[in-house]
Amino acid sequence: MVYLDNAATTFPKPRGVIKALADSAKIYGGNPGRSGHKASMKTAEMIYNTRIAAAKMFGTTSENIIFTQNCTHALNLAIKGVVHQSDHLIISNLEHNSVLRPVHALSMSGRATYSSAVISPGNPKKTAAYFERLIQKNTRAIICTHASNVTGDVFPIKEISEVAQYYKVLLIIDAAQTAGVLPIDMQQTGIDILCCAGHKGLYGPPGTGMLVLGHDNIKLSTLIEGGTGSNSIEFKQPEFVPDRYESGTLNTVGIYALGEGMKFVGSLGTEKIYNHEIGLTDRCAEAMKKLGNIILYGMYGESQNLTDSLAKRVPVLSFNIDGLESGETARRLSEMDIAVRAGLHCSPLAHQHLKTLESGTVRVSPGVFNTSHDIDYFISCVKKIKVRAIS
Amino acid sequence: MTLVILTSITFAYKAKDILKNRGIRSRVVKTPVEAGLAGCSYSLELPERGREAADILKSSGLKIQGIIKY
Repeated sequence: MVYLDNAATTFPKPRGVIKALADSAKIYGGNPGRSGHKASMKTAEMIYNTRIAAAKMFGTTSENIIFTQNCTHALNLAIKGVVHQSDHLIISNLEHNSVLRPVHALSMSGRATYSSAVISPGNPKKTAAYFERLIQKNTRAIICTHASNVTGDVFPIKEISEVAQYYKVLLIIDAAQTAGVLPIDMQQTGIDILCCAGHKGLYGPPGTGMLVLGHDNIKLSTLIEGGTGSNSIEFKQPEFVPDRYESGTLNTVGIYALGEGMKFVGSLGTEKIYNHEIGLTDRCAEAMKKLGNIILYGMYGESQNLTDSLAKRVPVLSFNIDGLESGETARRLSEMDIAVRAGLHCSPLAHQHLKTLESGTVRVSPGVFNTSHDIDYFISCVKKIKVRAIS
Repeated sequence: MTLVILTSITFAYKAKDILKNRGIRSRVVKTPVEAGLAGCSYSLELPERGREAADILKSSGLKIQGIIKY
């Protein structure tokens, strides 16, 4: 199989991650932060070391790493955690449902209102100015993606954070497509809360994610209360992190493997990973442009010169074969053992922007283990499908 | 032996790292019931330099729930 759906989840996983998944039930059998015996303490130390690795990766402190089930869980905790009655929130016109739906739910329940900023690709000042125009007296937070999982646009986080800091609103970033692909330093960029998937660019297993706090001055309302292994005599949830936001037994197997995934990413470095993946995506886009009757969207559709501003896009390419429904294209590619994703990618806003709400698109997203041979084979298959579509 | 009682296991390991960087050995343990603090918590057990360690941890901003010498 040629797997080109890494924006959904990365596959395959590095050897160290697979080994960690297999070994963890044997090595880390205790419940961390609950007991005092060797098994519990050993697992607790592993969890702590994984927090340290994540804290180092994103520029924060270990206790500000909150393990979640996935990025969606982290975003829900962040968005619902910061909002007060009658607050205003700002999102963008390219948000994934993991941002849009909780924000929309808050709006439907009357707890908050929201506005959408329109991103201007390649124009950070214009994009930031749009966000600034939407700020109101009661704006509580700007919540936006670091990069679109449909168009590949990378948002100008530094410029947006300057707006957020000037007006003293929180900045919550959805880093589902960028953690492990682009460098993220929360102190340098001024991000207050970063939400990550563990199973995409960090090469951890599904069922892992993180909410990362950029500093100590953030207190979120809790989504879940329960046992934390600390202050057990108290009826109320602890105030201190990370316990406040981590009730119940942690996914110790997943967190161990996530730690190995981060180690893998660290061993290569995000620059090497990004250059490899964007190189493959560029190769794919250039080849598709030569085929004809292929519609490319987002950064590859608009950009005339792919060598411009490499940092402004992530390795995600959306396309359609003229005359063929996106789902049918993906189905035919699957028959040729190529894995891509078709449809709306849980991002109706992005497809509204692209005017592909009815058709959807096919999305190609190479990962670190893909090669140029994979791309060339993919192109040969698209060629075959294209011929059949026209004839 | 000195027992420095912290809150969560995360802070206990963080405290251990802070002291390790200052050349002070310690071990993370579950706070014994005999410590008299009801509820679950974790502590650092220090064979030596207990008072110094407590001062270092206080100045680093970590919340210490208690210090017991035994």
